[in-house]
Amino acid sequence: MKFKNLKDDSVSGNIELFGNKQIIIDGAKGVIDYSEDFLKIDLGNICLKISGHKLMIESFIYEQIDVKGEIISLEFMN
Amino acid sequence: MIIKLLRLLLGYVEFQATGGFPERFLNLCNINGITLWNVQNDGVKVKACTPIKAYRNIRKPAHKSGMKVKIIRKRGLPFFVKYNKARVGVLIGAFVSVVLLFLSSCVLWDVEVTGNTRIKNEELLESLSGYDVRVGSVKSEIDTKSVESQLLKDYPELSWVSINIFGMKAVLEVKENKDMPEIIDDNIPMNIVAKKDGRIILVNGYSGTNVVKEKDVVLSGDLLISGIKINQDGSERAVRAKGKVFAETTTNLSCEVSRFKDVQLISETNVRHKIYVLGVEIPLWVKCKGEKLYNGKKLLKGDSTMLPLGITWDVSYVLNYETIEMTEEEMRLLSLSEVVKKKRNEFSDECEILKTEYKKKATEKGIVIENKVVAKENIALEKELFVE
Repeated sequence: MKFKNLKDDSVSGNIELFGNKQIIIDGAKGVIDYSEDFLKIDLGNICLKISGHKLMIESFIYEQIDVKGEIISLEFMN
Repeated sequence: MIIKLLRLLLGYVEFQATGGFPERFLNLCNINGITLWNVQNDGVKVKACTPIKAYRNIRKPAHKSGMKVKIIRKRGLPFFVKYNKARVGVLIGAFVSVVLLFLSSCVLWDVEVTGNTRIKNEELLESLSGYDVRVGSVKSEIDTKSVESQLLKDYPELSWVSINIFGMKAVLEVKENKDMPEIIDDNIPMNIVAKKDGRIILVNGYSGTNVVKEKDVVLSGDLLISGIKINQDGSERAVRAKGKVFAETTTNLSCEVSRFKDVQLISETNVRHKIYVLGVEIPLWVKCKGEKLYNGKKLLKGDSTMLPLGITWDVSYVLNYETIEMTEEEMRLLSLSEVVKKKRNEFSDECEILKTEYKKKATEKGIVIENKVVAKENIALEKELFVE
């Protein structure tokens, strides 16, 4: 699943999902909350909550976060 | 994979941060341009990796987020070099071995010849060596196509040549021409005459007219099978006479051996060793004396092939030339061996020796051995028949 070049102002950032094992988020402003089972990422106007098991931040460089682990759900929150 | 290799090359630190606010720590690291990877949070501590330079700047974000940072492991080439600084020899040795490994993989370690039956391996290997295909040659400099065509020119008896380089081994595959059968021109009229004196035992005439019969006595040059054939109408025609004529022959072979003989006596033996590495021989001696007679080679053996590493040696003798006087027994044995050699040349495989007698005569110079051989042999000899 790939969302790219979203022009809608209400959503910022690109999200790439590789099965349920990896997710790459572009345009992340920061990490709000982080544990092994969930990760909340600030995307500017919206917040993305990734739920799963053994979640690991593979890399966090500039505004790109690469998360690996067993992803169960993605949730957009205000 | 490449990224992992680069990280190992540049070096990185695996650390853990405890207490405080991990999220704030991660965000501050990001803002300050500190690259983190493999970030794991088990609820108690955060484990992550960062480059060496970045780790030096990590104290500030850690302090701001109230976390305590501790190194778990240091990995990569800079740490390895630092750790082994005192062991310079090991590092140099490792570097040299890598270079040697690279260099040795660029040259040929073995040359093999297959498919030849008549041409000797040594001969082909020497020819290949002339075209720079030998142990120690640089693989990239070998022009296989040109060597193949040169070999085909050098050896007309080869119908096909191919040089394949497998890893560090060159294999020369050849295919030899088949021997053409001798073409006998039946249009040339021939007689068959006796090549030796003898008493005829058996006449097998395949073509032509038999002139002799069993128990006839013939002299050398006598006609045995005529090439003139008489037709039914009484006319004559010339053909090529063919056949075998077996006769009982007597051959006298003799050999004279002088009492005095010039011989070469070994006064000194020298063995000179050399180290053999990839076709290059490094001598372990300075001066050499005497004539080189033969050489030997002992190479290390791999699983299936010989490695181009080992020891070679040249054996040389210093010879003195002397004249010695032989005993009766020595003269007898020498002359007998000469007679046997002559006998081997004189009689073919078809021949059957019926009787053999030896006589020894003493002369002024030495002795003479005379051998009388009675044999059953094919005395047929083709001789061209000239027709006017």
